[in-house]
Amino acid sequence: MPSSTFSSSRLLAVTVVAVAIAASLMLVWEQHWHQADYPPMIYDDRNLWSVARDRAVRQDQDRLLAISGASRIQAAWSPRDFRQLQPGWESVSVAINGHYPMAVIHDLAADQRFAGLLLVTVDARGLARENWSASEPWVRHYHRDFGPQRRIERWLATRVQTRLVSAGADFNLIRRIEGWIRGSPPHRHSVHTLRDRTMEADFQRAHLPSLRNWFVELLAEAYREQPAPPPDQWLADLDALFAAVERIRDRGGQVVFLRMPTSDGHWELDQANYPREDYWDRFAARVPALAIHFQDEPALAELETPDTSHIDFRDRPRFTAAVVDILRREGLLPEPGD
Amino acid sequence: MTFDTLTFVLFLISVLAVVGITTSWRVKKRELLVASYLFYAAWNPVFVSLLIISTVVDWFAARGMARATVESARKRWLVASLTVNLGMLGYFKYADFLIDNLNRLGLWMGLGSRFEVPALDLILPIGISFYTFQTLSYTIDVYRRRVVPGRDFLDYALFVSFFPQLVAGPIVRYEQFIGQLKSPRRASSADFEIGAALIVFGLVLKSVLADSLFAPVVDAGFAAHAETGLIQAWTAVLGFSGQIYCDFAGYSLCAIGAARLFGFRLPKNFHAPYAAIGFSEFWQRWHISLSSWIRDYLYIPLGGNRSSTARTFRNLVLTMGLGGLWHGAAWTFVLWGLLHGIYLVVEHGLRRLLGTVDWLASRPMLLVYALLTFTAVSLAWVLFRAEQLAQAMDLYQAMFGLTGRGQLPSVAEAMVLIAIAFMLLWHGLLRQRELENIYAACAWPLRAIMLGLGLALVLMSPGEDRAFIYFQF
Repeated sequence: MPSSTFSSSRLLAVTVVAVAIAASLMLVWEQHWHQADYPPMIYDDRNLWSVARDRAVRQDQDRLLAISGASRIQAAWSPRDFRQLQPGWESVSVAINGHYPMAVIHDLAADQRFAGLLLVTVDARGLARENWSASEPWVRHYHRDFGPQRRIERWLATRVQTRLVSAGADFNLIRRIEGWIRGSPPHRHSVHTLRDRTMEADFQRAHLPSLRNWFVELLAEAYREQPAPPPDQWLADLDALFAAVERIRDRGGQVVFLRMPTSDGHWELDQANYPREDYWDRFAARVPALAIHFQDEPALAELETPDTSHIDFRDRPRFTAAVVDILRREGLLPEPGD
Repeated sequence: MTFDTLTFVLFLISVLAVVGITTSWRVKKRELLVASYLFYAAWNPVFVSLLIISTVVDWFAARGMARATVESARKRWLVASLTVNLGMLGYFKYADFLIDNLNRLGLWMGLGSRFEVPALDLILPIGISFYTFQTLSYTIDVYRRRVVPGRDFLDYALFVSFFPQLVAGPIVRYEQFIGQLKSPRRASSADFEIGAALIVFGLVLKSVLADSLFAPVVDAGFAAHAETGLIQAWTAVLGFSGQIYCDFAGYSLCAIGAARLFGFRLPKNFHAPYAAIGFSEFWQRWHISLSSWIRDYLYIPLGGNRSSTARTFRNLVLTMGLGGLWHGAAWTFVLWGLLHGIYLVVEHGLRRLLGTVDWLASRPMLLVYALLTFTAVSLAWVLFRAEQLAQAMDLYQAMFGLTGRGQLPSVAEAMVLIAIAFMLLWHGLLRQRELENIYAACAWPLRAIMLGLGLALVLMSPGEDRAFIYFQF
């Protein structure tokens, strides 16, 4: 190639013009979505979960509350309020949106470093054998693929995602071209993930009737596809879980199971498929840990679940305070000043 | 570490800065060696030990061969190198495959589950297939007296671990690289600009096309294998043809570009493979560094085409089957390789026929052959992508119309089909040209616009954390 094609001055010119073009296009792209009133938001993934999973064994285990479960506890729990209510303590969310926590419980039980207080939010369906491996891919990712680079990358991604709308997967150019052709703009989320992997659900921004219908229909279909096993078999299958709980307790940790509030059509379907007295109550009687049902705790039972299974972000402080009160009453959290 | 991450951008800038302010060539090389080990450790620090073992064993094996005065001693050193390298590769990559097959055999023989061996569930060290082949080519070449063993261990260690090509190639031969370490290298303006351009083009292939355009349609199509129709099955398979090319060729461009920023030249790994006319040519254009490795260290030692036609055919099928197994520890990969072996055998047979009939060798027919080659290669990709044989069979049935026509393509599927048509056209244009030369022939404002647009496309393509497909090999 002719030497005149490339020179240090040409290199500088190409670099400056290329960066200027890329920066200008990005600026226009970012501004477009900003003006359309889309806020920057954090996108949860297996790396962010792995960061939390790592924290669950690196924090002071005598003052650690690990939260597991799925979106219901992510939407209800407020780590900030917990820190205020229980000074010196930290809570870590290892909950996974849309995925039952059984694999996470077994993973923490197998990790000798974990000896904290583990709050497991789950319902009878989540304890059924078919759902045991739901969170397994996250656990495998943590143990097999999560190294220094992914940790740094996630740290950088969180910082970028909290500042730029266009850093979110919803605003991927190809997705947007596809959306423009189909006439479907990016989804306006009423739920936002926070850095601590909990979520804020703002149901004032959501269309509640359609959301309620959607959740109930989804659940009805799930029950049709996966009917409940007979209660005796369901309970007999849980021996390994009881052993996992014992392992955590043997090294000084504690486990608490919490059945989260659900309402209306959701609760009716839960009751019809997994009647409380046949499933949850028998589980609570056998598990070597405290098992709380929301109906038995007035402070939890009176909380509203606008979409039938999630708590609005305005109720997060109430929910957190209610759980802290229960745990103190049961002697699992010390009273402040103790 | 992967090239399509912010971490790599920071890493690359840091290494360029450190190497740039260093004046001593020897120190620069040490800095690159340290950077390469950091690059590897960023995925999982524990497995750096395997890289060290492979490097040290082959260094001493080569020196042992050079010192040996009798042939048997040379052979012993070669066997030691092969044992350690293939032993590590075999243990980490193929142990569970072997266990699974033994268990199936046991069940088939009626031994029952009492004799079942539990799977080891090992983590596959990233890049092990690549650096194992790279170091093995060194010891085999020393054994064959094609190269003289090096005298500087750290230079040799850098040859094995040089970070741009460490985890997914191109697989570099010792003689291609060691000469570049002997005298100081300084990236010229051309190296720097072309290197940066190759990285940007590689990222466009990976982030924009492979991950954002093709992957969602491919994933959905293969997941719905049991109820898919003709249109969706072909879209998913053609989409995978696009995805795997953009993913791996994108990685290779980034690797070559990153090396160029430091003044090093790595061999090209892809050259418009979907414009290949015939399967022999396809393998001269697809993953060139691997296919030439397999040719030189497997096919030719097996006898190549030096004896009878039957033996040549056997060698082709065997070589390609083993090449398939190199890609992954599953029968689907072996079958993919064997199918390519059969393609090559059929091509050998047909070539004789072409020589006897004039119109079959005419120019318009070349286009037909290229399209046939692409179609056959795409059919083979089904086996490569399928997680199980049953999934592949479902897709083949759908592709041959046995499950109905299917729905009209969705917007995303239509975009994939259009992109594939453009890709074929682009490969046709690139058939006799080099991307680098096309870029260099452009006026600088056009180059700046292309780079700026490419960079913007990459930045506008955030998405899931998708590893490069070839990282798992």
